Amino acid sequence: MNILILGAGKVGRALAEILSREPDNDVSVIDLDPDRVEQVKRHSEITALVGSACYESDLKKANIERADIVIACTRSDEINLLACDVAKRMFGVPDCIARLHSEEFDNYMHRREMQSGSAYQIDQIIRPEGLITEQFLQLILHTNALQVKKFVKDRLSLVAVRAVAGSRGGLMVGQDLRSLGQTLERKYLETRVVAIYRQGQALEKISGETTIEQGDEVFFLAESNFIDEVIHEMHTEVRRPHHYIAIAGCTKIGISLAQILEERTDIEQVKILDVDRNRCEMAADKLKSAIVLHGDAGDSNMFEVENLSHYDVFCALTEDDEHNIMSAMLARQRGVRKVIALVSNPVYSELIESDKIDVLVSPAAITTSELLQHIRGANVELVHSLRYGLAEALEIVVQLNDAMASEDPVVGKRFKEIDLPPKVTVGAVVRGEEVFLQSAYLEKELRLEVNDRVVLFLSDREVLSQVAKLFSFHQ
Amino acid sequence: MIQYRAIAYMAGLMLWIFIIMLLIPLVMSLWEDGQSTNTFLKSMGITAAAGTALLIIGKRPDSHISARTGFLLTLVFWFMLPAAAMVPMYLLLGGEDVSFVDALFESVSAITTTGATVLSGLDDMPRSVLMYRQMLQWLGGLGIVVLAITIAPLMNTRTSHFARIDLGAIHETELAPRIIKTAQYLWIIYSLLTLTCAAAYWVAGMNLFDAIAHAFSTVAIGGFSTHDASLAYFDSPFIEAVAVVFMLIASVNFGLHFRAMFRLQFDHYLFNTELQFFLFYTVALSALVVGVLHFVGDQGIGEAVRYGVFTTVSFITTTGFASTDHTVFPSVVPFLLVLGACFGGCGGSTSGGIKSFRILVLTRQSITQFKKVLHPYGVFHTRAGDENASPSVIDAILAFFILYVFVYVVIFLVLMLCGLDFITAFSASGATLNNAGPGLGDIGGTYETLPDIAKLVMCLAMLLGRLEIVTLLVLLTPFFWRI
Repeated sequence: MNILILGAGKVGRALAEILSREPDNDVSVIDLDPDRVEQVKRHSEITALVGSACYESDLKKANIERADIVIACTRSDEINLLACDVAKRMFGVPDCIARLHSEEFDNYMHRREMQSGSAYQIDQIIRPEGLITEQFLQLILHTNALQVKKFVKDRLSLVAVRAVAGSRGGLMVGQDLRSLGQTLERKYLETRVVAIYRQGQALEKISGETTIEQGDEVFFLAESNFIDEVIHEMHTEVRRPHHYIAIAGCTKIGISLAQILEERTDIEQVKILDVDRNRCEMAADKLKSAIVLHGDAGDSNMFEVENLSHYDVFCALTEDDEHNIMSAMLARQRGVRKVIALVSNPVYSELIESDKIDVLVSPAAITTSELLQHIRGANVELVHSLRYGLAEALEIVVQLNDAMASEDPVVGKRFKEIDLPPKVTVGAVVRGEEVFLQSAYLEKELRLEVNDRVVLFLSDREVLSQVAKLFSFHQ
Repeated sequence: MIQYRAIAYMAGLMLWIFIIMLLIPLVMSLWEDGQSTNTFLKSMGITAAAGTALLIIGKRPDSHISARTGFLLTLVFWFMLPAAAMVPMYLLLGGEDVSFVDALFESVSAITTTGATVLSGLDDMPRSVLMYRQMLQWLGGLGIVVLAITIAPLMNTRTSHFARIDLGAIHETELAPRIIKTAQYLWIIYSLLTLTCAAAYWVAGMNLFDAIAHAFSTVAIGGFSTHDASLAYFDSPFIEAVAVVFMLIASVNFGLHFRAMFRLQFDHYLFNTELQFFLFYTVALSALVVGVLHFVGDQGIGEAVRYGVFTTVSFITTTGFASTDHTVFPSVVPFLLVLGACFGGCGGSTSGGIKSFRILVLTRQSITQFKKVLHPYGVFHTRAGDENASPSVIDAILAFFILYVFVYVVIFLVLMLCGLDFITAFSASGATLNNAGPGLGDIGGTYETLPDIAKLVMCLAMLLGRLEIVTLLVLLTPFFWRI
């Protein structure tokens, strides 16, 4: 596939890199800034050139006529909209995707008036700010969860928790998965463990006999309504909802997160801080009950005066990776229960140990997930890129495979008959209103039908091409 | 530059408008018995002479009026109109009982919609004279609204917040982009309100004359009555209820009425923060007064509610009607009421006092201050409604409040110097500065017995209150007169 990316910012670069990993993809990048282009060029097999995202001559140089997909992710919303429109109308690119920052644009681009006639023609809009805010919200609301990803119209959630043996003995640590499942089943909680990461490495094969050890990162699937109960059963620490939230960074994301939180009745107090006076003023204008603080997250005096050490969650949301990491680590050291940091650079993500910062949220990964699910076509409903893009969770709608008319590789088959590559775990199957999570039935008896929704967990993206072939979608 | 000749011209015009207004009591007098006809004709002559003289001296303003001319013009209007109104008043009633100062006091009180009176024996006066008094209040009531709107944009040339302050309700006040249009709308709203009010009084049992006369003073938040006993004369719970409702309606920002009448948007009544706050303290204070009357004053619950609510609303809206003698209430109540009158109604209405939105912003500002003490690193904005009150609005309100307190204290001290006792002086400065009307002590009913010098001081206080202090005091500053 020929992919043209407009704008080589953080997201553009990360996207180019992930997409170029697939051998079939030809990725080109255009940016006005020669330095950035140079950076991309140095990198790998990506074509990069200096030019405008909207000029015909520059776009032609980038071979836009042959492009299957154009992704506009320059800094400016207006340029992204225009660039998509140009690509669509002048060059007839089949798939045009625009990344937008502003909620306003996003809102009215979805209105019917904008979709008809001569208005901007765009196939897909992606607004990372909204997705990131949602991600932070989930992490704040679910105590002890390291990851919360929704599937099947939010019915199912994929949740990551760390196995810790606490004073209560620990339900999870030292148990094998079968007895864990039985214990939970007695409480009418259905759940299914899809992956276990031990010291950063995924366990090759998990089965009913796999025992969970201290410090393991456990990924499980459960119905969204019950995930807090399941987490509570699995995690030994006393469950206490988060009431006091501190946010560092009066950025767009920080403010919108604070706005959502102050509307919620289960949140007692939100404090949002920034070193920049003007940003604080802007935040104070928009927020009602949240307290805006003008100061540095590293200022220990402010931490003490404002009682931030007793806060339940600390979210580092500035635009600066290093600052986020440092302030999150400081917050953790000062006693905040859960610290979450926004970190774009994947190199940092590998560096940081999990006992220093609980969760790292990568904006690039979230944006890429969103883009990937669009690129992969109609069969793929949702993609969540996990563990810095190394693993992936997919929601696939089962369709008849036309290419192989003789016998479909999945439809009508049981999972044990399907030739699933290793490192792929079946999470759940949803048929209409019914959810199938139970291991024995799911693996040995259930026969897949057309329009079933299958949630798969790939602990290694390498196997994606095999999965794609089975379920027939683009990579 | 101040355009003096333009001021003279406008003043002359204003006098001629006033003469036209005088036609109504003149006709009434002819129709009644002709007793006061000559007097009205004589005053019309005097006013006409003065008006024509001013028109000759003056010059029609060619393009537009400068901001300072606007200030001065407002002041000239508010000093000239009582003077013009005083002429018939003195010619009609002057004599042993009513001195020159009394006539002046009565006129100022009428035009500033204060409602403090020095007259007694109203019930025996000719109806044309009574109607003249009520009409003065009505004119003053509208005058303040129109002038607020007309003058505010002039002030606006310097600080863009002045207009908003003057009109109250920190936002959504502008009715129409053109001032002339706005003034026309206000005329219509004001007249319609008056008509409805008169009809309601008539249905509740007043005769036509009383209904119209009281509608004039109710919608203007004035408080003059055609009877010495004020509304107590009728002794009717229905009439009192009508009065309460219309006093409250007239205390609401006219911008909201405008939206209801011309845009058919009624939800503004529900979501206007200033109005919510005004109703909140009105209800709270009424409940308090009713409680005290019932439990301390040993009144039956029915009576306590009837008199308590009426008196509280009458005071808070700065109207000044009486349905009973408030001076015999348990002593905390009259005092509470005099202080309650300092709050007043909403901005952009006919009521006086500090006004609801200022109190609201001051309260919020104090809360912000508490937060600042607790959170030294905090950044806080004072909110009024859904919007933030900008620092310049807060500054203006704080300055107004300081001036208000200062002026109050000065008037209070000067009145004591004039020989009034503590309670009379305290309540009189409140009653006049807030354009409320009745007070405590010697002035529970009329102001008849006070010394002339005190009456003159109170005239000034009433004008200060009506002009919201700053407008008048700014002329005393040296920089007003420098180019």
